[in-house]
Amino acid sequence: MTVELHFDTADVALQSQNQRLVDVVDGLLANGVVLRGELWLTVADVELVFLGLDALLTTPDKMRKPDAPA
Amino acid sequence: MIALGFAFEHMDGVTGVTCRRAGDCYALCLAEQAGRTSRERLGYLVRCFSEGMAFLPLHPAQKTTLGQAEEMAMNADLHRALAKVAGTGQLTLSLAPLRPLQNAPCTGQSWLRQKQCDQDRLVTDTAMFERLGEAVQCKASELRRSHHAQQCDLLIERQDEARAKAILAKVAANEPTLDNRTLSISGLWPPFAFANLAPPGSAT
Repeated sequence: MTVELHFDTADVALQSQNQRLVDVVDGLLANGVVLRGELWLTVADVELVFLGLDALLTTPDKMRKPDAPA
Repeated sequence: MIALGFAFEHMDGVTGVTCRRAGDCYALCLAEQAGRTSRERLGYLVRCFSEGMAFLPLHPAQKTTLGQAEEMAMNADLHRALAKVAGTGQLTLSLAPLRPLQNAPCTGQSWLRQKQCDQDRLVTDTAMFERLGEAVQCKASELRRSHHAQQCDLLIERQDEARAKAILAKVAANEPTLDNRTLSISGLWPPFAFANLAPPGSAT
């Protein structure tokens, strides 16, 4: 069993180029609602059909790339 | 001007942040070009928070103009909102796989299996976040799920930071669901996830 536990201050997390901390800050700034629906049709433990729907509701400002024109 | 949050006393101390009258309080403001991205706005919020300023933070992902802030000051009960988060900060817990995600499955069956594993992991992760929140005895935000990780925020008293981190470390060390996972605990951040302030006309 492998467990990794990290503690970081807000300043370190913001200034770090470490991918783990970049992901932490990106997640912290996520501001939208994700709707996720999944349906499996299974017969005798055999999965036959999967229906999936992922939808993201957020503001246009959030979806725009940082360097894109407003 | 971009608003970062509200204060009930005129305050300064962070370069680039100014106080503008808004209703019966003050809006902490930033020049438009200094806070174009959510990361820049978060950086200024953290600086104000580190200076010990008592303020009600706006979510940095949401760009709020001074005009919108003035409208909020007229219509929202900001004193009550500030009372809810006064003296607190948020710790952000982020749980991610220890190793990079596997390559995309090549068959329909393996894809289905991976979807089921993801679903099972979501359930166990949610339960683990709940246990961590209960151990610290604090308010927790809803779970956020991204491609890389799952996150939730805990609202804690600023003076309780060390105690909360010690408890989280102790509980996490005994968590079987943390097998081959990385738990990152970051903060304290300004408690913007709990301030529940949205500018007029925003959808989120």
